[in-house]
Amino acid sequence: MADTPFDPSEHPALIDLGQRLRELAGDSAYAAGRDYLKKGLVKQGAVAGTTGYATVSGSTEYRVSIAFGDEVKVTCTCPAHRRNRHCKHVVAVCSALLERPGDFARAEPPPEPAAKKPARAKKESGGDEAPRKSARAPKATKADLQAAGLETVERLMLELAAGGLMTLGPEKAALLADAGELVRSLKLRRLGNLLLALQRAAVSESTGFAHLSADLYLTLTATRNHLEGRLSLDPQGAEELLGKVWRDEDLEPVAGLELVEVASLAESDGEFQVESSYLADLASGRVLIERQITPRALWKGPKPRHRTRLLVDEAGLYPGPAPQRIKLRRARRAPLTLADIERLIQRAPADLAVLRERLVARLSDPFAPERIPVLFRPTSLLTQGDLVGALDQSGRFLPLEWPDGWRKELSSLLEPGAPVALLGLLSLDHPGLRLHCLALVALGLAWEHGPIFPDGPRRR
Amino acid sequence: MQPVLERIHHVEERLARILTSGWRNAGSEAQSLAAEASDLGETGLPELAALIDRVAQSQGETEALPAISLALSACRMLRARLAIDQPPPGRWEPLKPASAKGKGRRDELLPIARLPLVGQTVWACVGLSGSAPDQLILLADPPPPPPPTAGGGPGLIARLFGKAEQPSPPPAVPWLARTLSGHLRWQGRWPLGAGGEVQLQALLQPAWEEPPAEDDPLAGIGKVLAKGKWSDRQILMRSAARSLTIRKAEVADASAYVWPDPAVAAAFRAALPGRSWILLWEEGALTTPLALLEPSGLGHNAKVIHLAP
Repeated sequence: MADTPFDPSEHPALIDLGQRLRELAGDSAYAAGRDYLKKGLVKQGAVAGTTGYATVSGSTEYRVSIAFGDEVKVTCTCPAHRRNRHCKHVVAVCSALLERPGDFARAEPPPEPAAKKPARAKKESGGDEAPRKSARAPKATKADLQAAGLETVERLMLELAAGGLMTLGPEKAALLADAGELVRSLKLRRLGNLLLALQRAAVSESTGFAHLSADLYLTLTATRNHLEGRLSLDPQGAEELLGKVWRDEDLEPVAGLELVEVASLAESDGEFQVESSYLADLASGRVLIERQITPRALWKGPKPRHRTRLLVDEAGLYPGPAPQRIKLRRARRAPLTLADIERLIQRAPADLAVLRERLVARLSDPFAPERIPVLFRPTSLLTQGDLVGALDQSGRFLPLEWPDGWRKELSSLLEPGAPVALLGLLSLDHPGLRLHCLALVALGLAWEHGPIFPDGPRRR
Repeated sequence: MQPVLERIHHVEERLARILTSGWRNAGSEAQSLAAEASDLGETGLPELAALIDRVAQSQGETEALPAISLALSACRMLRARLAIDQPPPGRWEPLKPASAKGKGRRDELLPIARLPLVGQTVWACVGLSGSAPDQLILLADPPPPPPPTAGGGPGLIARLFGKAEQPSPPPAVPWLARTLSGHLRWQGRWPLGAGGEVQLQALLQPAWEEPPAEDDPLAGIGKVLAKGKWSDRQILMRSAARSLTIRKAEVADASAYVWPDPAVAAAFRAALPGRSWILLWEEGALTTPLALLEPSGLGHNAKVIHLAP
């Protein structure tokens, strides 16, 4: 350590950065960063040469470096830094350098930021490890980081469980999102996605918040037990739990399928555009999902729909419970006729008990999505006021959730006695199951647009 | 079963409220759970009762969060298994199907030529929006030709295309001259090239419309064809990205053609030698030959050469 105290006035680049900080960071990050400084969350400050280092510690610790020599350069280990280089942690440390210079020790040789490789620090220190050890801890293993991430999530969950949604201000909501990003970056994607979903539900005060909290806690526990070797899962289940990104070689090769796209669904979580095509196999009646996930910034509009029959020569099935995701590698377009539609409708389960079993199987997995896409062949469709339902072959009733306008349009399109199948997302509601309909397939639709309602955009 | 389900749902809602409001604020909600657990036990659900009771006995959020999570999951599973399959009370009626079938707007199409399609003969038609071409349609089970008009024949084009010499002409299809109207009903969808498609339709309640008036753009098509002298890329009808076009065979790029059925391609290749003109449907980047044209010559009128008998 050098004896001379750090004096920011000797560094015009740092002063200039301080003057432009609000403009660079934006009001929200600037205010949050100033708040961190006020709360004393900037710790372990050190200045080496013309670079300042510090840790900003909340529920998660992030390392920040600010170089203010000839060139100003800022780094932070938080996920938000990738989107906004002047994140709230950078604001906090920069403000601390300018306003609380006494909190920063002078260090020689300079400490390395956490992200740098240890080998380089060794080279620069000429093999003398003593001062470097005082500046940074040994590199944590992936398991250590994952354990720390899980601990962070649990702490947040317990805080939420203690105080409820009332205690969730913008800062804690941001912490939830940060924690989600953190565990995702630690290859715990399913947990990260659940955290991000919880954050969205919390901010919108959605009724699903409580169930999401419970699912998240169960997933957290299962993940921890699995990572610590206390839970025996088959390899596929374990990878599902962690949310593995599957590679081509992980997929099960499949060929000879005869597919018809019955419905599609586009959703966005704010960061990614997720487009799902629900494909029915004419031979078996099973539903497969073709999914395209695109960062919002790169999304160029809806993916084209498959409007003809597809004869699949080469495809891969993703591991996981039914309905499985499919990657089409080589498929030929073939005519789609009424005979194909008749086969499709006939293959759809006509018994509500079959669908119920599928949903129960899905719900027994607390970290799987709560809604499953199903194809269902009702014997009749019923209405009462604005309510719509369907009867199965045994007279069991299934409430349907139809998009606005369906009832009026279908009333003028459905021909009497025409066989019908519904493709929708089946979920548990009160008092029973509910089908959120995405498409209706019928042999007798009184229009020229095809056998599927609603008719998707035509390919030109 | 309904009362049990209601009770489970009631407990589930209470657990959700506790999570939403926070364990510190749970107060009487948490206390009531003990009594509800006891009730569920007496109803014959001891395992669920034990899970609920564990929530009630929790000392702080560290115990409550795992207990609530497990209890909520168990409630949900049980409700899925026991779910009611009866419609809610009230008068449920079948969804009323189309009562006014056949009414409303009639679709209009202009027959162009015969094409082979998987062993049958269909008509290639242009679906019209007003007088503008809207889409290519393959018409299954086409209607019989209209009876000869009072003028003594099936119309200008049919006469020009080789029917006028017969003393008592049988009814002939007025290709490219008269439109058909009716209600289209989807029969199938055929791929065209890598991304295009064409619909096979049936026409309900078909009727031949009267020949177009002199000033109707459709009448112009007949005049152009009857003239028998054409130029390459001569457009017979066009809308935004679609057109019915005459192309000179020797300059047209045959490798760019797309076909609804291999039989159309085979018939085209068989009929092409010695013919100079092709009648094409163009839609965006897709080009589909529909027929060949033979110009008028010494002793004969211009003719449409169909690709199916």
